[in-house]
Amino acid sequence: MLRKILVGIGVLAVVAAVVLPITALVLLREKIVVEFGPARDAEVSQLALLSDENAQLRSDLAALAEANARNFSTLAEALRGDRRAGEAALSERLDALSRSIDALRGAVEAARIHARVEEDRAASDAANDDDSGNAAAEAAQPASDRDDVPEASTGFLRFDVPQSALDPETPQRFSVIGSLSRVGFDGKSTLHDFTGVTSAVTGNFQLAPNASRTVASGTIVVDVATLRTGVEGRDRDMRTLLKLDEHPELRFTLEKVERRESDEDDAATDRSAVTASGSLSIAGVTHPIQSSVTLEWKGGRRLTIEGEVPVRLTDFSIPPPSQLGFVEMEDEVRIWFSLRARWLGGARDGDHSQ
Amino acid sequence: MRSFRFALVALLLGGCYPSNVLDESARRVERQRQQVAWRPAHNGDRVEGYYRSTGVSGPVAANLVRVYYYFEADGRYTGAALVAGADGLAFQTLAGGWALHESDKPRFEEPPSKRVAVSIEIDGARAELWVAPNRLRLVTQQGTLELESVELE
Repeated sequence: MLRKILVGIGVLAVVAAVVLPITALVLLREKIVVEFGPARDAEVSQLALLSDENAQLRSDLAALAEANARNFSTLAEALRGDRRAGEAALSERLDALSRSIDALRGAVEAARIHARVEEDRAASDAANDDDSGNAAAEAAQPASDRDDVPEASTGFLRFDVPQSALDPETPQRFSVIGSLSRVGFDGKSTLHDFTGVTSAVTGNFQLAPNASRTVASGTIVVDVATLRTGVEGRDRDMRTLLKLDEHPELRFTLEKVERRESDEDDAATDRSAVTASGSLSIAGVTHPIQSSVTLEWKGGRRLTIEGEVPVRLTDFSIPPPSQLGFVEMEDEVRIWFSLRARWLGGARDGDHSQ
Repeated sequence: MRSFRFALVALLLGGCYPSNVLDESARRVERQRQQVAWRPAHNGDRVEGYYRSTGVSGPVAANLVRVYYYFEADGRYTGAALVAGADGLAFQTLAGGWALHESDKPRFEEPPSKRVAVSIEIDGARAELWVAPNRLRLVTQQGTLELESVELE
């Protein structure tokens, strides 16, 4: 049964495969027309195609050009911005450098001024203002050498400070600064040498530091009770010999000052050698003396006076001390002095320092 | 024999005292200089108070002996100075105004927050200002004035 069915199906398939195409051909043959055109028409079509492509390319190029223009504009703007920013940064750096240079100049100037002040301090006396007891130095430069200083220095912090300079050729007044002065003596004995010294020195005097010869005046006073040799017993004996109770002071009265030639003269430092003449009173006895003295003016207002003079105790009716006849002190002692005096100005008429 | 013993004792006692002759180079009085750490003033420093001079140097030192200042916080001041003139020593007194002037050139080593006040003006007279603990230093062409602060009792 199945075999018959399959045979039947096969026959139908064959028939369909043959009959149907034939039928389709018959039915559609009349509807299909195939035409073959001449060559000129194809060319026109190709030109049209090319034209279309060309137009497309042109459009694309235009778009590309526009895009490039935009890009270039953006790039140019960016470059201009960078340049402006660079210029601004450079300008700022230059300003900062200028400020630094100005600051450096200020620092150098400040350091220079500071160094000048320190030089002035180092070149002057180590001594300071006597009354305060504090340490400060004064200028080493003599006031008389300053040509650039105006006469009236009213600008100095508003006080009217005259710029008068010490004239070393004319008599000037001075006052001894006790705390910066010393008077002493060197004695010799059989067994050892010793020094007695005191700083209790006062006095006023006037003289012309550089005058070849000048009448000078003034008095230097030493407190006998303050003399110290380092040995209490010896000091006690000394005060007894000097008659402390009756004559508590040693007194030197200045009468004349004469310049003398010496290797110590130094114009650069206002240093000169003089011979000071006067009278010395010890234990109530007065005796004329002459002393070799060095005067030094270091600017500011301080005069340094240093010197020494040999004296004999017997000239003042003082017997040289002796112990048991074995330990004896020599008759000659060397009195020395190192004084600092403050300048008070020029001598006034009729002024005689006491 | 007895006197010989006394003499011997005296000699021994005398020999116990060494020589103490002062060398010539040591005769002069030399003061130890006090070391002070000065620095330029800046606008954070306070100047008000009572001061007295501790040192004067430069050309003005020949005639300016001593100076006292009293600076008030409101910019007023009063001062006194002992000046050596043709007629001798005399005091001068002053009263007026003072001010600090900041520099327009900041010191590069200072922090940016600090601008340096390098000058003090006293009634128009300017001076570079340096400071140390309880001290002032005024520097001018005519000289330098150093002051220390003193408490008014």
